[in-house]
Amino acid sequence: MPDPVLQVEDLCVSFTGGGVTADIVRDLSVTLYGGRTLAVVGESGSGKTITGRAIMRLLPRGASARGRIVVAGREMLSADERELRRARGSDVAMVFQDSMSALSPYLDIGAHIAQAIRLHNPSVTRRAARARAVEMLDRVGIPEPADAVRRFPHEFSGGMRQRAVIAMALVNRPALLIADEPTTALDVTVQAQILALLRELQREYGMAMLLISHDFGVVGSAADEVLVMYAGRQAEYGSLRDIFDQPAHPYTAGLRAATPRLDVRREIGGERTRLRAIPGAPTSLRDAGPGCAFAPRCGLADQVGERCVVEAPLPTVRPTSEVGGLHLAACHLDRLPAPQEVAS
Amino acid sequence: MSEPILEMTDVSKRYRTAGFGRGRGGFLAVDGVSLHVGRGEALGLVGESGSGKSTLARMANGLVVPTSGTVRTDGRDVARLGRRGLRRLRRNVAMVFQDPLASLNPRQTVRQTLENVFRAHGETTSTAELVALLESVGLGAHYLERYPHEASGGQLQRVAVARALALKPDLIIADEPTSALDVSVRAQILNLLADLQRDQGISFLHVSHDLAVIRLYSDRVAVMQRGRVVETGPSEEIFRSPQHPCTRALVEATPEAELPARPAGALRGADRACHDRDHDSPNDHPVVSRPEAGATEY
Amino acid sequence: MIVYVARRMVTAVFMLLSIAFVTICLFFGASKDPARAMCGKPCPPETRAKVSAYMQTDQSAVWQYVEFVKGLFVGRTYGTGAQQVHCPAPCFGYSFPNRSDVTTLIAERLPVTLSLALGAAILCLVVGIGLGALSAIRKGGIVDRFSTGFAMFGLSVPTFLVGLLVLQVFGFMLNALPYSGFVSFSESPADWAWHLIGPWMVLSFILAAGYVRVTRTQLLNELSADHLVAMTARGASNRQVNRHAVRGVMVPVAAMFALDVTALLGGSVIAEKVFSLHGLGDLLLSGVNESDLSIVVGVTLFSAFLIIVGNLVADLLMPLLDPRIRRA
Repeated sequence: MPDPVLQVEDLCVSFTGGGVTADIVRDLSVTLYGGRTLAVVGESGSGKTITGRAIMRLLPRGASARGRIVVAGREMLSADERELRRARGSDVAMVFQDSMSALSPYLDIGAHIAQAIRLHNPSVTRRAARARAVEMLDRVGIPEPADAVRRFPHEFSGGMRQRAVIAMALVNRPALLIADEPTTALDVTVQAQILALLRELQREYGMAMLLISHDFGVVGSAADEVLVMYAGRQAEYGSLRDIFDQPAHPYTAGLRAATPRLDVRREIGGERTRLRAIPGAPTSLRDAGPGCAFAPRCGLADQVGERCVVEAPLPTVRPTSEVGGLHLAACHLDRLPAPQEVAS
Repeated sequence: MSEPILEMTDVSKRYRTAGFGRGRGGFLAVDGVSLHVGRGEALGLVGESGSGKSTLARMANGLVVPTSGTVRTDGRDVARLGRRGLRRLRRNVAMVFQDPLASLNPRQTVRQTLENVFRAHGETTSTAELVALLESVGLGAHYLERYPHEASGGQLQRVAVARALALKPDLIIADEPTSALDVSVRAQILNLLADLQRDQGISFLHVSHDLAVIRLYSDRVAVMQRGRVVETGPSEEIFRSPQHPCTRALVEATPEAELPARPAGALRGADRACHDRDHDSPNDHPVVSRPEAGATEY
Repeated sequence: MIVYVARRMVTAVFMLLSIAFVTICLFFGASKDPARAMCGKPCPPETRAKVSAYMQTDQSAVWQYVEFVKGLFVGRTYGTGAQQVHCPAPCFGYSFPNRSDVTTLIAERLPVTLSLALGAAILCLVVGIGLGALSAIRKGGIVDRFSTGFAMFGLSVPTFLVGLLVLQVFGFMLNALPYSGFVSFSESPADWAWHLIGPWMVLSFILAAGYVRVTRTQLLNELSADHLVAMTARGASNRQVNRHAVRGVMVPVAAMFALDVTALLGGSVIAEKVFSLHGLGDLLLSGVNESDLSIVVGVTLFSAFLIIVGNLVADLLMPLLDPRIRRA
C-alpha cells in the first residue's frame, strides 16, 4: 500500500478568547489515500470547516492546533512559514463554498491562476503562466477560455466561477484537495456538473479529496469514505456503503432519516409521510458536557442510561461490509435497533 | 368546489434596469404565469435561482405589484385594494422567510415581536394567548423574554412561524423556510408546517429549490423556469414521470442520499435545460399542465 | 463611456448655474448694500443711487443672475465714458473695492491656495494611510491606540485651535517656523516650503484623522476577507497578501481624497486667516466683509466648479481601481 496523502492523528483545535481556552475539535484521526474521497459531514458547530482549515494551517486568530497532521509527507503543524508556503497551493489546495468572496475582485481570472502558478514556480513568465491558465480553464469546461481569462470574477455565473476556482486550485496538481462545501451556493443542476467535474479531475490527477459537506445527497454521489462529525468529535467513520447501509451511530441514522429524499412519496397507504426529525439543535464542543455531546438529542440514550451523560464514548470498531474496511463509531450502544423503514 | 385562496391569472413582472447595457427593455422576472392555490392545499413552487419563484410568491400579498395580470387572494383583487384593504389582506396572508435571524428585529424580545403583530392590526393580546401561540409551534413560555441572538436558528424559525400564525391566516407564503437551517432541524420545521396544514387547514405556497422537500410537503407542484411555469400537476405525478425537460433535469440533478448513488456524471446534456436564463433554449418545450382528477376550472 | 462623461458634464453645468443663482439670491437677501460701502462718507441718497446704478446693484436678483451668466461668455461692461470699466470674458464679475475683475483676483490668489492645498493633501495622505495601515496590521498595539486617539482628536478639534497652537508652539515659543507670509515657489522652493510647513501641518492634521479611520477599518475588513485567505491558501506570503489588501483600501480612500483636495483648492478660510496667507479663502472672507457681491459669487462658483470636476475625475478613476464598477 502506498503512503497516505493525508494523515491526521489526535488533532485538537482550541480557541482562545476572553481569557478562556476551549477545544472546538478533539481527538480527530483520519487517513486518506490518493485517488480517494473522504467526505466530512456535519452541522453547525461540528468543527468540519475548522478541521479543513487546520490541515492547511489556515486557522483564524486565536485558534491553535495540536496533534499531528501529515500532508504528502510534510508535517504541517511543525512546519515553518517557508515550508507552509511551499505546501499551500502546491501539495494541498482548497476550494471554498463562496467562489465570489474567494476570488479577488481586483484581478481577472487569468491573473488569479497565473499567481497560483508563479507563487510556486517563480521562473515561469507571466505570459507562459497566462497561457497555462487558458489551458486549465479549457480543462475545467469553461467555454472560450482565451476570452474568459481576461474576465473578472463578477462577470461569471456562480457555476463558471466555481469552475475557475477549481482550475486555480488544481493548476499545480496538488496531492490533496480540500473542498469546503463546494456546491452549497449553487443550483442543483450546476451542483451535479461541479461534482462530476471534481470526480473526473480527481481520477485524472490521482489526488485525494477531502469533501466537507452538510448534505448527504452530495456525499452519496461523490464520497468513498465518510466521517460524520458532531460537536467537534468524530461520531462515525466508515465506507460510504457502511455509513448508508448500516450506520452505527444514532446521529448518523437520525441525520439520514431527517434528510428529505426524492424517492419518498408524500402519502403511503393514505398516511402523510413525515420525516423523523432529531429534536433540539446541534451544539458545539464548547457547550457540551462531559458525556456524549449527542446524548441530549438521542432517543436511545435512555436505553444506555447514565453512562451517556457522564462519559464521552470513544470510537470503536463496528462490523463492515467492505473487505479490509474500517468502520468506527463513537457510541456506547454496540448496535442500533433496526430502523423503521421510511422509504416505500 | 369553493373559491381558491389564491388565484393568479396571466401575471407578469417586469423590472426596469437602470443605466445602459443588457436588458435594455427591463428584466422580465415573471412572464405570464397563471396558477392557483386551493383552500387547505399546499402548492410547491420550485425552480433554480433567478427563475422568478420568489417574485411570484410575493405577489400573493401585494409585496410585489405585477406589471400585468390579476392576483385574487381570498376572492379579492389585490390590485384594487387600498392601503387599508392591503393591511386586512396581510392579516390573512402571512409570510415566513428564509433567514429567521434577519427577519426578526434583533432589539426586540420574542414577546415584543409577537405583540407588535397584534398592535399593528389594532388588537390587544394577553400573555396567555402568546404562550399558547408559542406552544403551538413547540416552544416553551420562557422564550417570550428572549432576544433573537439568544436562540438557535431552528427556534427562531419557530418564532417566525408563530408570528405568521398570530392573526390566524388562511394562507402562509413560505419562501425557502428551511434553507438556512441545519439538516437535523429542517425536518422539525417542515413537520411543523405540515401539521399546521393538516390541523388548522392553512393553505401554503411553499417556495423552495429543494425538490425532495417539495415532494414530501406539497399536494401540487409548479415548476418555474425563466419566469414561466413550465410544468404543473399533483406532486406525485410530477415526480413519478416528469415531462418537461427542465423538471427532468432538476429531478435528475438532485443527488440521492441513497445507494447505489447515481454516478454524478450521468446527466450531461439535460443539465442545461433548466439553468442559464441568458441563453434561450433552442427548442422551447411546451408547458406541461396536468389537471387533478375531478378538478373544476375556476 | 463618452455618453456617460457628456451626461455628467451637462449635469455639472446645470448645477453650477443653480449654485450661482442661489448665491446671488442669498447675497441680495442680506440687508447690506454694496453701494453703501463704495459711496464713502457722507453718502447722500442721490450719490448712493448713482453708485448703485454704476455697480448695477440696483437691479433685481434675476437680472443680476442673467447678466452674470452673460458675462461669463461675452464679458461685461460697467458705466460709461471715462468711468467705464470692462471685464473680459470669462467674467466672474468686477470687484469695485479692489478695482479689478474677479478672474484676475482669483488668478492672483490661486498659487497660494494651490501650494497650501497640495502640500496639505499629500502630507495628510501619507500620515493618514500610514497610521491607518500600521494600526490595522498591529490591531490593538501601541500605534493603533495612539492613532485612534489621534483620529479622535483630529476629528473633534476645530482648525483655528490647532492653527493657533501650532503658531504658538513652533512660531513663537520654539521660534522654529515663520508665523506668516508666503514665498512663491519660483522664487525659492526651500523658502516656499519653509513658510508653508505650519499650515500644512494644521490642515493635514485635521484631515488625516478621516484617512486614519477609513484606512484602518477598510484594511481590517480586507485582511479578514476570504479572498485573502484563499491567497494564503495558494501559498502567498504575508507580505504579498498585505500588499494585495492595500488595493481594497485604495477605492474609498481615493474617493475621499478627490473630495478633500478639491475642497482645499476652494480655499481654507481659517488656516489662511491664522497664518496670514492671502489665498482664495482670504479673498472670499474679504468679499463677505466688504459686501463685495462679485467676489463672493466668483469664488463660490470657482470652488463649486472644482468640487464638481473633482467628483467627476474621481468617478472616472474609480473603475480603474475597482473593476466591479466598470461599465459596459
